[in-house]
Formats: sequence, C-alpha cells, structure tokens
Amino acid sequence: MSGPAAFLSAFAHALAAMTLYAAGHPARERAIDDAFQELHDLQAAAPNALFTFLGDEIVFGNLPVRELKAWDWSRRLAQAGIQRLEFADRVSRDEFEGFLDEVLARLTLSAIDTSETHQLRRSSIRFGSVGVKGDAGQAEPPVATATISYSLGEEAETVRWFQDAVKSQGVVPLTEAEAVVRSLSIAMHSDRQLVIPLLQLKEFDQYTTTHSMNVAVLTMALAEHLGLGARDVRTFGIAGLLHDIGKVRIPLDVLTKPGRFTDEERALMNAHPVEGARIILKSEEQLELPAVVAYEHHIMLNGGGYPTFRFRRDCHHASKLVHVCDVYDALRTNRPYREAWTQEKTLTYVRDRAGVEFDPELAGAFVRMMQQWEPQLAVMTDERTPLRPAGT
Amino acid sequence: MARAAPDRAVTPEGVHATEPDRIVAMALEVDAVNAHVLAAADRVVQAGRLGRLLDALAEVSESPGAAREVWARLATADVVRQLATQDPVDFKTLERLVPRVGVAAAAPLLDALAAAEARGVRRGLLAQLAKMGPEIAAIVVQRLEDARWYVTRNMLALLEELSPLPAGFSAAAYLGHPDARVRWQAVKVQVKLPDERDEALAVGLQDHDPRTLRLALGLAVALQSCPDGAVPVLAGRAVDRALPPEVRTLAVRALGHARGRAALEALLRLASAGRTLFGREKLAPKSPDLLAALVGLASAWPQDPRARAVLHRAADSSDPDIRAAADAGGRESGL
Repeated sequence: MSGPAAFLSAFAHALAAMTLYAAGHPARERAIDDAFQELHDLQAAAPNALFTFLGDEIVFGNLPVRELKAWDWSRRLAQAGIQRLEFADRVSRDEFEGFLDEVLARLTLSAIDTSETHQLRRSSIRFGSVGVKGDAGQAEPPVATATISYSLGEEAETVRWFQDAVKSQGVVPLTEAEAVVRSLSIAMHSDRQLVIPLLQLKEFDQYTTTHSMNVAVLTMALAEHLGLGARDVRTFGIAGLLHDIGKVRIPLDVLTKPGRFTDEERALMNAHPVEGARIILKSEEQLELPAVVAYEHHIMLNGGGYPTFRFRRDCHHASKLVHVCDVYDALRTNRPYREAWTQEKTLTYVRDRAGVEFDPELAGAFVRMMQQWEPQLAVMTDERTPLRPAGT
Repeated sequence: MARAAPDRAVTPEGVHATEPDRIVAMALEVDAVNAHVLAAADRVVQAGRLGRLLDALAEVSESPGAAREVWARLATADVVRQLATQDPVDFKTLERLVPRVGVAAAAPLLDALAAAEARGVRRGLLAQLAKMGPEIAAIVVQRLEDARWYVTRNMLALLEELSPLPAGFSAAAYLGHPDARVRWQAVKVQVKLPDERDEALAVGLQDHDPRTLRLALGLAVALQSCPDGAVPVLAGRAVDRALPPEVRTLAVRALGHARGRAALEALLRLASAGRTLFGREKLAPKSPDLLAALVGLASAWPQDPRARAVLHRAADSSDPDIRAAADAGGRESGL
C-alpha cells in the first residue's frame, strides 16, 4: 500500500477507534499512535502532504489515490466540510490528536465551536471545505462548517487564487475549480430546500471573481431546475465558474473602466471567450465543456454576439444556459458604467430577448426558476458572512 | 418547504456531453489543441465523419498550431485502416487522406484489399493504391507470396499499374501459378518488362487456359512480337478446331509476327490447299485464317520465293479480300 493510502487507512481507523473508546483507552491510543506514525512516514517522503477529497475520489498532491477508490471516508469527510487536508509541516503527537478530535467533532456534528477554535490556532494542519491558500505559517480564517450556516469566503478566496494562478501560469487548477463547485453545491443544498447563494459585488475589481461564482451557482440551479443529473449539474457548474476565465488576460484598468471602450479595448474584451478557451485547452485537463462554454457564452441565439464561428454550428446547450445566467448576473450587478438593474427589470429583459438572444426554452425556465425560487435567493453582501436565505 | 418541481424529468447523465466535432471545430477556431481535442478528433473519425473534418481543416491555415497537430493525428496508417475497413468505404475521403499519409498508407490499404469481399471495394482500393505510384511497388512485391490466389492476383494487377517496377523484379514465377487467374495477370505484368516479354508471351501462348491464351495472342498481335519458341504451339493452335474460330485467327496473326522459319512454314501450310489435278498449287478456301496467313506472309516474308508464289496466286484471285490481304501492309488493319 502506498504511503498516502496507508496513512488514510490508519487515519480512518483512528477515527473509528475514537468513536468507540474513551480518551486514554489503550486501543484508542494505539490507533492514534499508528496513524501518527504513518503520517510521520508519509512526511518523510512528502513533507507537505496535501489531500483532496472529492466524493469518491481522493487526490494526494496532484495524483489520485487509486487504491482507495470508493473509500467511504472520503465522502464522509467531504460532507463534514473537509475536502482539503494539508500537513504543511511536521506535526506533534498532541497536535495530531487535537486534529483528530476536531475531525471527529465535525463528523458527529458536535462541538463545532471547538473545531473553529482549533483552526484559529497556528497549526501545520490545515483543512477546509475548499482549497487551502496562503503561507504555511499564516493563521487560517475560520472554516465554514457542515451545518446550514455557510460563508463563501473560502470559495471566493480559492477562485481568486486560481484566477491568479491562471494569470501567472496560464493553466487552470482543475482540482480547486472542482472543489469550489462542489462546495457551492453543498452550500446550495445545505438546507431542506435549495438555496441560491449569490454574492453582491463590493469592489469593481472583484467583479470577475464574484460574477464567476454567481454564474456557477445560477448555472447549477438552472441545470437542476431543468432536471439534469448530478454529474451534468456539476460539470455545468464548473463551466459556469470558468466561463470568463479569459478575462485574466485583460488588464484590470480595462475591466473596470467606467466609460466607453476604445476600439482596441473593445477588441480586447471581445477576445476573452477565445482566450478563455485557449487557457482551458492549454491546461490539458478534461475540461472540454468548460472550454466550449468559455468560447460560446457570448454568442446569441440568432448568431449575433462574439466570437463568430468559422464553422457554422449551433451553440452547446450548456453555453446557452450559461449565457442566460451570465447576462442575468451582469445586469443585476453594479458596474462602473451603470447601476444594477432590479430583479423585475432583469427578468423582463431575459423574457423579451428570448428567441433572439436567448434560447426561448432556457430563458423561460430561468425566469420561472427565479420566480419560483426567489425566497431561496440569498444575496450575500459579504462573502464571509454566513449564508441565510432571504426567506428565513 | 418542498423544492419546486423541475421543468422536466431528470435526464440521464452525460446527455449533454460535448460533441467531438464541436471540440475540434473550437480548437481549430481558437488555434489551440490538447490531448482531449486530439481524442475528440479520433472520435470524429470513428463516427465516420472524417470527411467533414477534412473540409474544416482545408479552410484553416496550417501554420504551426492546432490544424497541423490535428492533421498529424489524422494522417496516419491507423486512420487509413479505419477508413478503408468501414462499410461503405468513403473513397472520396480516403483519396484526400492518403496523399498526406504517404507510403505508410499502403499497408492498411493492402490489408483492406485482401479482406474486401465486394468487387467495387476492391476496385476502389486498387485505384487508390495505383495512385500512390511506384513508391509502393516494393511493398506490393513483398505481398505477392500469399496462399490466397486472389491476393497474388491483386498484387500483380496493382504492379501492372505501378510502373516503373523495381529493378530486377520479375513475375515469372507466377506464370506457372496453379490458378489461371493469377497466370493471366502475370502475363499482363511480364509483357511490360522488356527483358521478360518474350518469355511471358511464350508461356502465355502455351497456356491451356483459354482466357490466358487469348490474352497472350492479343498481346502478341498488338505488340507485333511472337517468340520463336511459341511457333510450334501456335501452329497447332491455328488449326485446332476445338478452339473458337477467332482464337485460331489470332494464332495465325501472331504467327505473322514470328521471325523464325518455322513460322513461315506454318503460314505456308495455312495458306495452301495442296495441288490441283494438274499439279498446280492452290490457295486454301477463303477464310479469316487464310487472310491472316496471307497478311503474315506479305508482311514478314515478302522476299521468300515460296511466300511470293503464294502471294502471287492470291493477287490473281478474283476475290478482292484475298487480293487485299496479299497486298500486305497498308490494308492489314482492315482484316
């Protein structure tokens, strides 16, 4: 068994033992010792050990841990808000046991406060619902919990991080994008009813981050509303999240320019779908749909918009769907050059443009969804404020 | 609160997967490519839509970029094999692809040819292979030895189209093949090789297969060449009543192109009907064979005294066809 798999097995065994035996019981202590030893051995080879739990999939660093495919604990950890787990440096036995306590608390939905206290401490063990970011020595902010109270701070941070990574390295970190979408999906389904958490833009220079997350959420909501299967919903969500990724190639002063664009600036703006597709393709990840959506999301039903296809074809269903969500969120947002539209005005626009700009079926479904689910819209003025649906 | 009902029932997973044609079209338009795009190109080929993909590729620049990489992915022996074994075979697309692949396309095409059951497919593949030119001749020669007669026959047929053939090549071994269809094809190939021609004709003229014999006779007449070694057999053929009359006539005409005296003797025998009661030599009764023999004598043996005597008698004939045959040369084509 590989080092990562051996550690995770021992880790799960320790958690199981901790649920069975009280503190100080030899069996419990032995299980913790074993797990700690495995971690020690693992860190001898990989000092910065990073795990990602994506449903049934486990990733160690950038490599899947295939030996533990369908490992039950992966899903349980993810559901408990532990989708990423990083051992940034050597940890002590006490530190490790404290971490196990914290994880157990999350798994059993008890002692939430305790876990947050642990996280606030300076620690080499970091975990959360989405990507871990920042310097190793930096104290992490409170991690969102698996209860109904969510903030989208981690998600927004991760989106900003991977946008920076795209800008500097030119490739999309897929693991983080998937983690954000999964986390947004969890946020949407954290209550008995679906919640549509939308971020309100506070600073113009954060538009792309906020907008990308909102479009991802709206896209998943509409896809779900239309009855798409879970995997498609998630794939569409990733496409929504990455639809504007080409904008990383546009200077910020152009993106936030209040006045009219010059011809050159307009050309730059209009090139972002092509740039987005190029960036995603360059990533060599299995991201065909996000690449297609990034490329097609500004093309109208009547062929207008941009870019112009060289090879005549209809836009993909996902592109048409994201297009509606994209326009909706853009119109509902304050921009440097105009105030945000009201919900009513925006939905009227979507309805009026059906058959011309938007696919009529999708536009109709979107309007119906927004009307039906309006009580479940949760517009968050601060990404770090826990989420509460408007109707609660 | 219960969740609002969806607009439609849950759709099966993956129904909104990205179509491979779309992925490749996008990659060409944005001029970016990755392994997944190339895999999508593979799926387009597997779905039988390579022709459309080639249409698209023809429209974009091939400067270093996506188009070049996609071309490199498509222009392979593997893709040729897929195309050549599809039913029906898309020959138009094959014709566009094969020049890109070059000599490497020969092996899959030859494999497909060997396996093809429909004559139309074999004909199309042979035509495609023939267009590849003499560069593939060496590969074809390597495939001559095959237990299946039709494979050998097809290889010979292909070689016939691929001149110039490799130096030193000879299909002589196949002139004695057990299957007449292979022998027939071997004669056709061999007569194209100057050094092999006489031998091929000689063997062909002796072949007991009517089709091969007819071919050899036709070739001998057309080439105005008849190996001396074949004369005894031909002389026999010329009088063999078991053969169709037109074959006998061809044999006589072929004799007219032999230069050995045995041919002269044979022609004289064919033109003569013995002597009259008064001891004068007389011409054979008018027939296509007689006319052919007279032409042969007139064109090949005009100086021979016995031939001249026969020709004189023919020139005195009251029959204009016989007179014309004796006046060899210009009217030969009228026979």
